[in-house]
Amino acid sequence: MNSSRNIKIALCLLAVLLATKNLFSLRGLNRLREEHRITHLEKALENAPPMLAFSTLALGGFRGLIANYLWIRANALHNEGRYFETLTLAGWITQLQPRISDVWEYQAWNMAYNISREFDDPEERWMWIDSGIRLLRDEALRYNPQEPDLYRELAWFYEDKFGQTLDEEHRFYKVKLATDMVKLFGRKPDYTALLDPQTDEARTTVERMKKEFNLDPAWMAEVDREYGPFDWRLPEAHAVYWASLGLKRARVDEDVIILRRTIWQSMHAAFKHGRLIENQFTRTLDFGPNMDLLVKTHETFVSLKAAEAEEGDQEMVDYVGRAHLSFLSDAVFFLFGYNRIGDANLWFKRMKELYPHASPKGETVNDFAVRRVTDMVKDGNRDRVVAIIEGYLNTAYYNMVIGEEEDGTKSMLMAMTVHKAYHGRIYGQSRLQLPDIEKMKATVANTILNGENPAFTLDMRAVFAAMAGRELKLTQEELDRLKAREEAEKNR
Amino acid sequence: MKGLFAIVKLTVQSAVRMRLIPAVGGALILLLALLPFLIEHNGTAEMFTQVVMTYSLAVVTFMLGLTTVWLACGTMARDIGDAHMQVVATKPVARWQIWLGKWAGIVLLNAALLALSGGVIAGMIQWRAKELPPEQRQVLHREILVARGSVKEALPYGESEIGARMNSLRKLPGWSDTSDSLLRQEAVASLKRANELVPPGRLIKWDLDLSSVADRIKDQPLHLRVRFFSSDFQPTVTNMTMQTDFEVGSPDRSRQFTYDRPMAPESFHEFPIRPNLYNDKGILRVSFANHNRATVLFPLEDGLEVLYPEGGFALNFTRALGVILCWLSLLAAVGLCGASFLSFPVAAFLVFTLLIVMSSGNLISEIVTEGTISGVDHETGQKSFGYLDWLLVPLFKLLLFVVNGVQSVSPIDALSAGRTVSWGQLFGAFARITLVFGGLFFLLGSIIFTRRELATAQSHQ
Amino acid sequence: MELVRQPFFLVLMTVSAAFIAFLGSIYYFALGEDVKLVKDSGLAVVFLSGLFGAVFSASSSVAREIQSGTALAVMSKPIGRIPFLLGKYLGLTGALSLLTLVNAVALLVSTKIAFDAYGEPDLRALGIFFGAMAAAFLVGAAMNYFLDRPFVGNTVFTLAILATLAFCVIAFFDDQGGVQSFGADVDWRLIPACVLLLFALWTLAALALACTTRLDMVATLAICSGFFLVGIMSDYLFGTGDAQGDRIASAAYAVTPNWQVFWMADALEKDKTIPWIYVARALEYAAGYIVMTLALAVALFQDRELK
Repeated sequence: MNSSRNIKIALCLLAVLLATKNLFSLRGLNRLREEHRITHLEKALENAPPMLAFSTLALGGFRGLIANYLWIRANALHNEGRYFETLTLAGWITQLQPRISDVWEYQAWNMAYNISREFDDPEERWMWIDSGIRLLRDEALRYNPQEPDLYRELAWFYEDKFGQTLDEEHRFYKVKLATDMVKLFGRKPDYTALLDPQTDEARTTVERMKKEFNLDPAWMAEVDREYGPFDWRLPEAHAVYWASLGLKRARVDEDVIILRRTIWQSMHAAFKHGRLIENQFTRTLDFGPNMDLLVKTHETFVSLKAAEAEEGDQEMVDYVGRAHLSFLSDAVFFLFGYNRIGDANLWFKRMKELYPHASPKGETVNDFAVRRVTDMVKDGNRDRVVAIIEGYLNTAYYNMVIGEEEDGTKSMLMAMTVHKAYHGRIYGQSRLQLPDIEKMKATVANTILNGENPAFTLDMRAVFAAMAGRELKLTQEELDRLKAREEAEKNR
Repeated sequence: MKGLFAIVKLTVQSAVRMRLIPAVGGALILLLALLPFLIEHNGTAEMFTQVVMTYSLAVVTFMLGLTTVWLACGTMARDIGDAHMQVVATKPVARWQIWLGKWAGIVLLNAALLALSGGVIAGMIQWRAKELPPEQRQVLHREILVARGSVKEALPYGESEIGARMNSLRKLPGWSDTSDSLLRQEAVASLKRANELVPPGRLIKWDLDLSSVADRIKDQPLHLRVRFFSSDFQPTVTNMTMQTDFEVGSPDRSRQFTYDRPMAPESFHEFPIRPNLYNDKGILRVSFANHNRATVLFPLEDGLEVLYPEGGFALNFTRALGVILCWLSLLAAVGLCGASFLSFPVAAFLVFTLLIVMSSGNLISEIVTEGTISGVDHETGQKSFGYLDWLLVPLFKLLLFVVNGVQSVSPIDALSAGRTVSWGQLFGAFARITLVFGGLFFLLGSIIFTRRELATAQSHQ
Repeated sequence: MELVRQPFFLVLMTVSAAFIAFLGSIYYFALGEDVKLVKDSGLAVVFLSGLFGAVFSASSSVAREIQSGTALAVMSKPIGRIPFLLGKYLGLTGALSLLTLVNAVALLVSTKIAFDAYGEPDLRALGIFFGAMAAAFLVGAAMNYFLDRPFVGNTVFTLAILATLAFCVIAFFDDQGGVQSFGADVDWRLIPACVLLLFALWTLAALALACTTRLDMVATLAICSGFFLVGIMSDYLFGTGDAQGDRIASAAYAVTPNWQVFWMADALEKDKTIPWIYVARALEYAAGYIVMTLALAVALFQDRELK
């Protein structure tokens, strides 16, 4: 009995000693966990129900399982269209698992694309889109600075939500962005002042750029040097900024084709409509092609295609090639439209060298332009062609009035080319004939002068009348309005 | 019936002999006693009660749930394996009575342990409440440790409004060819939006009908519980708040009470309102004026409700424990059913597997909605592989039906928010969970057990 | 050996391995990060099935022997109580290692074939793995029929061998069926993750063994559930107090098994690793805890009435 008792005492003492040793082992393990960032820092979920907050705190490393459950639940709510509830859930998941980039992407996309549409007011839609952008830019990238998907998503918001025309309020977003940028650094960023700020004003600007927009002037200068020159009041510049930053920061083994694709898509878009045109009459903004980007866009395509070729991905090389060809077609067409025939020929030749199948043998740049225009009229619908020609004529006059001579000439040339091409197709069928081009010009001019085209304000009509050497006819209401305006100016 | 009671008694005695009661009971008491000391709260009565109540009930449910599974599977399967059941089966007790007796014995044990746990929780709350500041203690007893009912505004649109909206949508360009289901979806969404959004500078009014409870709530303090979202969402700013201006009173504004303070969007907020503000018809009007720069959205489902005292805490707490007991009774039935034809570990494993599957409610509902366990290409409608759908999809439909039935009442959430677990909910839970679902398992289990050859089921140890 | 001959053990091994492999082939409808879901869920199944196996095996190993009287028979031979208990424990660890091996192999297969929203399940790999499992059963049945060998025990060992071989074959092919270097798309960090879980299972098995020296199986299971729950929350309940110098919290922290140190799901994110030094330190912790628990088990078993 004694020996049994002694054994028990010895064993209990051993247990106590080992418990003490265990405590030190445990503390050592906890230190290792922190050192190697094996587990996340535990802090309570904000604004979560008590049960959830407790579970995530108490369960420590097992919180990943809770995050998975919330993730599946968020998907179920999303399918039911309950976007606000998914907002809450996704917010918790980003707190639980901040290093999972998909949650941040979803959260930002949900705000910018789903929830924004719940509101009718464009200002409020903008606020939700802006929130999505800030979430990615200021939070997600802080935790995941090497994640290419996040950079791509951020660039995509600028390229698609602001840059494209699918959202009915896209114009509002463009104007809002332009206004914000002008307030920040004026029409163009002055890199000399911003990269080495000597004045308080410059220092304040740099601070605001970093704090409010997370923009680094040095990287902006680099982007302009590499891909630009951009108009930073427009979204395409920002899309390229973030996509190129992602390329720079992504891990070595990551697939970065998504970022490269964003860059060339944004550059192509910037080429097509990356120039801001201010209408001083209506105080609105319009967008036109940025021909200054032609060379850099082409070089970008070439270098990105070479990068894909180096990685041995022929499918991707072909894909980039198709996009490149589309860009070169636009470039040739625009140059032709601007009557820069020499440049158009040069680029046409370059296009045929790179992509021989792009043009049949013996085709000239003129034939190419006509062919492209003919594609627009190939269904032979007379009314549609009339609408297209009148559209070009209206645009031509509009651009001339606001001082954009080049664009005006381009549109006029397009109208005439379409007219000629159409008549070439219909082989003289009289029932399909269009009026003479001069007659069509006169018709459009009359609608403008009579005030039937709402895009032309009274002042613009007056300018047009003076340009065309015609008399401006005003209605009684318009006369009264003019008188009232003159009185007001006199009194001022 | 004598045989049935005898089996109940034997089951209880067996559990006592296993030293299960002292072991589990002791562990529960220790955990529940320690928990309030270990959990942090911000010193308010509301937070304190929510936190202690929620955590304690969760621990109790977890521990008793596991114990129920072990006991249910163990008491049946081991008795069969050890040949004790053969001795019992020779007595003039029908097999179904043996099954039911064991089930009743387990439920009785659970009831005793639940009662013990409930007593400890209530005691700990009262004891720890002494540490709260005096005014918080008053708040605790007046506003938290009560059972509250709720009234929401009726849905502001019906089928006629939905129909009218669908017709007007159909006339819009591009909508004429849209399917009826999509049109309806968009119509409901736009009606909802119109009734949820409060643009800057505008007002929204809710008319809440308290006529059915007006007599009960005369002179009683009420609470308003609100939740809203805002388009001024600033994910990088913590503790962001918005200005809220509520006016509560009768529709003719003869009795008014205003409440304005900053509130954080997305979370639920409760604040007290004066008693007797509703008019003679029991209508209480709540208005909200949006003085912020962004639109505010009050979801129709849970954006605003009035909470009124409906009863005392003790009875409400007991009813909540009753719902938990219903869950445990179903668990016992499932365990006994499995143990009727499987060995102890396999039966327990099956029960846990079922529990894990049933806890994946969202995944199950997705599978049922999509009609397949594989992915679907939504453009072509093709499934990746649907070979097992003929078996799994109906099974998941059944599981979903059970899951929805079991999860329809959440006593833990209700108690932590000071809400009533009504007699109706308790009886509903009892009828659905214990009688219907438990009854199904009873039928299945007792049939299998009746037909089982006990002699061949002996273990070979 | 006795443990692996339990039908329940084979059922547990088969169902858990099949379920883990299956996890890699279903659509999670999870808006992305499906692969992470598979890893987390798979690790959870490895852990939970191992826990189940540990607790049940430990409980049935000693408690039933005492109940049925075979323990008394063994003890009447020149085998003391200490070697009896230690022998039981070593047998437990062997069985659990086998279970974890099969589950770990299944997890490697599952995460290899897991896909995101734009992918499709690799039915070929799944077929090979399930085929191997079915073949193990056939081999066991054939050995039982032709050679009179016990079906369950042989099937368990055959399953372990064939599942591993199946994985080796699968690892040589990519998801398109093209040949690749061995395991090019396998997340090998799952191996140290599963090894850590095995340590956790050994620890729980020791606890269960200690309880079963005095308590009935059901009571043992209930106590182990409590240990499991408290162990998960150990960092939260006692860790902060220990860091602040609270002696009671430190004592509780020392005697409560901390399952967090064995759970490595967070470490499977991108650009993280599970260093082997950590695995070694975790083994040291587990060993210390196991020896402590076994010492107590022996102390409890010393004067336990075996009749």
